[in-house]
Amino acid sequence: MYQYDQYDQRAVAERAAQFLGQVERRLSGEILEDEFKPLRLQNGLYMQLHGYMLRVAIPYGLLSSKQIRKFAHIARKFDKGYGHLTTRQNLQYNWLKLQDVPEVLRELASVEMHAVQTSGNCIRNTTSDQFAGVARDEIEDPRPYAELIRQWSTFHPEFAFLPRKFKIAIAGTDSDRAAIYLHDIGVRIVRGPSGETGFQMLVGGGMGRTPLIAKSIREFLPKQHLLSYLESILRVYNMHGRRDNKFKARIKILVDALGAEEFGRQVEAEWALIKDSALQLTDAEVQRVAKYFAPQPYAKLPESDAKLDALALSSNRDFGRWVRNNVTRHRQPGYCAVTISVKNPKVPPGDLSDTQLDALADLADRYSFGEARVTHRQNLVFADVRVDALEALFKDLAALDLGVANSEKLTDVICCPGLDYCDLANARSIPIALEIMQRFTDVDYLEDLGDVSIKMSGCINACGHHHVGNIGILGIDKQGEEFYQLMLGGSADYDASIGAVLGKAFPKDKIVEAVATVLDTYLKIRDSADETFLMTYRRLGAEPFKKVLYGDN
Amino acid sequence: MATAKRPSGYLLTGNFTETGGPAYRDPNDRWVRDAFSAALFPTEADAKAVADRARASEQRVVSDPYVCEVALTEAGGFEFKSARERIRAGGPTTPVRRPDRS
Repeated sequence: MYQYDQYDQRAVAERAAQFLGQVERRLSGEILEDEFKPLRLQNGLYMQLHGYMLRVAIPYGLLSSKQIRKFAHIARKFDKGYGHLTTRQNLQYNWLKLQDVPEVLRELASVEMHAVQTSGNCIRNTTSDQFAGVARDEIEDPRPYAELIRQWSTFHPEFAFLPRKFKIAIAGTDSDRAAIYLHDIGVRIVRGPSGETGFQMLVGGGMGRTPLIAKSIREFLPKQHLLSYLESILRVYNMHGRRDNKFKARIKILVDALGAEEFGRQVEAEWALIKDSALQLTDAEVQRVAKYFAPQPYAKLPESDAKLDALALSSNRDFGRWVRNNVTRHRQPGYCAVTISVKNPKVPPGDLSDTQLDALADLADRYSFGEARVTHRQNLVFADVRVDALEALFKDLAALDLGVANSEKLTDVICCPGLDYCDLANARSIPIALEIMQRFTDVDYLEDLGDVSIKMSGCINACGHHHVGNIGILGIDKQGEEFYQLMLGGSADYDASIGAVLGKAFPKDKIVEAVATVLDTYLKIRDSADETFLMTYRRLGAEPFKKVLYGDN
Repeated sequence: MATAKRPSGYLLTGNFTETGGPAYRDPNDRWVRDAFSAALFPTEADAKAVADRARASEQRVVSDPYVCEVALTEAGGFEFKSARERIRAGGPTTPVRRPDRS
């Protein structure tokens, strides 16, 4: 993975020192909250319902074991013993004291981490596919380009005060595991007319108040122009994005208002001025960064697909199920990628304790070359595990309550912190997620349901991606009470779709029953066990589900 | 028969600058953690005047003070009107790994 050079290290160290001064002045009263707020947001520090929340950047979700140990240490020493994985591949602490935050930033800097640009109207963490570099259907590893985007966007002087936050995602396979169509800019690695790789450029995706799917404005961009093209998009947005209304300030609003064609035309006009500038990527520069993502020093092992098939049918049913659901085939013979579900029905989705984090660091060292990846589904991946080590790894994970075999199944819920933590929320999301995870425990039923995603948010800002869940749940406030809107048919893949609201919202003691009714209906009306929930919905629409939930009303 | 609307009272809340945790103004003009020790103001204007003073001069202790409307009970206490304020006062309703460090 990328290693900081002296400039990177100095930048984060100086940033931590600068923030120490700012905190001291806030605590002494020398600066007031109105002055301090933009400063703390520039360092990823929010004030939430119960305390300060710090969002730590994890570039494209990639972590070293040393960094995971540091997360454990910070959780233990400064927080309440846990951290929370987010849908943008970051980690959040919910209980920090202001006076401790500069020390936390120093600790993070010591392992090449920071909280810069995880908040505010700037370019945020660039996210990517959790199987980058190892997926069999990968055209090219997106991580070098994600790292180049990170370097280009960090402390970019022109884009420090955008109309609104800005999110970029990059993917390079046949399946979109980075939700690129729901980002401000989505970058898809594609093959050009002569077989060379380049990028399809998508703009104007997003969720929130106005969910929109990104539009393609360039079908093929040669690689060397990546940064100049991104710069052009940002410049058009920075010039013309709305600043009069915070709720209409994202780039998706601008693209929708102008139309993709006109927006693209403006980008191309801007790009014509800078495409041959110093932003052009040379082969040498791409190679310089790519070498940080060279393949691991794999052992020479025989092909293992047949072995994986056998393990999936293991007489140890729990292990077999875990192999079927949580293990992904790898491009290197003898290896596989393991999704570690952080969706245990006893704890909020995405939460990892300090003990678990410490143990995961050790397991990463033992099984996966000392690295792990955070996924946008709030899970972790060990991307390079020997197939012959799977049984041992499963046992070790199960001992940590991390052996749940539900990857991409119903109880692999995406869930924002909601009203239990978040200042913006209207309703709680975690209790609903826990109720779902506790209700649907029949593993045979879950496997029979197949791949179905539930995504839930405690407010319209959609941090839980409710718009693109096969089943989406949005918490709302009706006269001081929590209600939940149910929507169906969302998808975050390349065939992205926004879910449709089914009808009247449900009170909190009825929403999980409504989900159960939806699932039972699906099982009754699907064509076959091979027809997924989303396929059935797309074939038959909302009517069958509306009818059972609402009758003829 | 329609339920009679309960009379409203007003209290002052904000976030402790040091911890970010919820703070409530008590009858002795101190900022405290316990919501149910909060002073109740009869009118919003009364509470707002104190909020404005706190915003001007007490920011070392509390950030962003604001007025919160509550429903007065017959027993002389109050209830929060929104889930948000209830949860702010009572803490998360979901498992937290560890109690307060302090």
